[in-house]
Amino acid sequence: MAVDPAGQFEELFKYYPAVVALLTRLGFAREDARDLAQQVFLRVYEHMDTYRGESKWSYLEKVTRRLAYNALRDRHAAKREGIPVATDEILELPDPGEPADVLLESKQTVERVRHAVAQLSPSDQTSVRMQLAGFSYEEIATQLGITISALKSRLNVARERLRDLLKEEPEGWGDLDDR
Amino acid sequence: MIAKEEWDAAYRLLLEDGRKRLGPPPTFEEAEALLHGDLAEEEAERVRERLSVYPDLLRALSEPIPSDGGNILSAEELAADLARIRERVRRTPAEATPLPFPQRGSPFRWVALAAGIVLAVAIGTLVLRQRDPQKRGMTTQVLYPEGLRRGEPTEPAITLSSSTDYMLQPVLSSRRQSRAYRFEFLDVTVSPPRRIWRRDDVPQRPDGTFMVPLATGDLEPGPYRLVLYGVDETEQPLASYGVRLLAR
Repeated sequence: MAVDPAGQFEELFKYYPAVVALLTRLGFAREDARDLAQQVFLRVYEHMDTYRGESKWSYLEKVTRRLAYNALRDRHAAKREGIPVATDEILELPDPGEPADVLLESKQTVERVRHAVAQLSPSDQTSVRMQLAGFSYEEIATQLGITISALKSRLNVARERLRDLLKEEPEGWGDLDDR
Repeated sequence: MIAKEEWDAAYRLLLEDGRKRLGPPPTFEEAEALLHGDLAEEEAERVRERLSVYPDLLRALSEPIPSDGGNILSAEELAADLARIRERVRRTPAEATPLPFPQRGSPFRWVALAAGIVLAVAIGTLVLRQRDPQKRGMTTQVLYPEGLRRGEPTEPAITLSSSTDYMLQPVLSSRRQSRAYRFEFLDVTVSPPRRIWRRDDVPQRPDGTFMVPLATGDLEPGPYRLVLYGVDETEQPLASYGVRLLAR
């Protein structure tokens, strides 16, 4: 069956605002999102000959995710080539007006958590990092290719190990369980 | 009790630690292969671990696409963006006939205009090709690198016609710079692939692409692969681009 590139492009362009919306959700500034969305549609246009009208949304989604992913990856590459960030700059602890001893104690706690997590197995670290990043159980399980119950089991093991390493209940992390 | 802010601060440090230890994020092709379950378990674990220290990239793979953009763009912004796309499309080899561009109107009018532009490009190309069938033309074709998943390309090969020659314009997405670049054009119908030609010292353009002429007159129809090598102290393949030549 002959493909009508103009018609296909017209169908796809209806989704342009949705693509811009997705890109802003992914952290792109509004103007950057618009520029990237234009690249998405330009690329779609250039590849209309490979599009067979099977699923407009999935076709567009694939192109969008690819370009967004590569743009974010480029940002990381640019950061790596830049000036390394000092540890103290990463430690954006609350209320710098707190007394020095409180801040010091807080920094020490952060270091204890950091070292405790670093002692978990690589796969447990991966799960813990993803949970700390704010992903839901479902999202993490999908990314890890395991069931939600297997993920919960893995996180429980990690939590017990952290409790041993920290010598206290790893609270403050538990409120993620509600997601 | 460990405060949430302390967890957050530790998390940021852990990301930095992980990035230093694990290196740059996986490529999109690696991440996609992971999601499709196409990687061996050991490799999958490595890709997962690297992805976990780049949560923004994980989100790019999994964030649901909104069912519509709502009012994220005004009609004017939508028109401006469509005009920019139109401008970029116009720069493609087949020149589109300029269309009038109304100043105001509903977004769907712009959609209709975009469709008109694309149609004009398609018709223009057809007319140009039919005007003088004896004369071989030169068509510019942008090529995007293919990823490999278990040795198989993840992108469909670009289809080329043997009725015209091409100025291939391969895109190199990597930011890594090499001292020099060279290309090989391979016949992949045989194993191992047979090299048909090689071009050394091909300059990279400011936009990251290359210009590589391809004469199709003497080529048999079938699949081919263009491979880009970076030449430094040693040579290493940087990207490959699949093409399929049709007998017409």
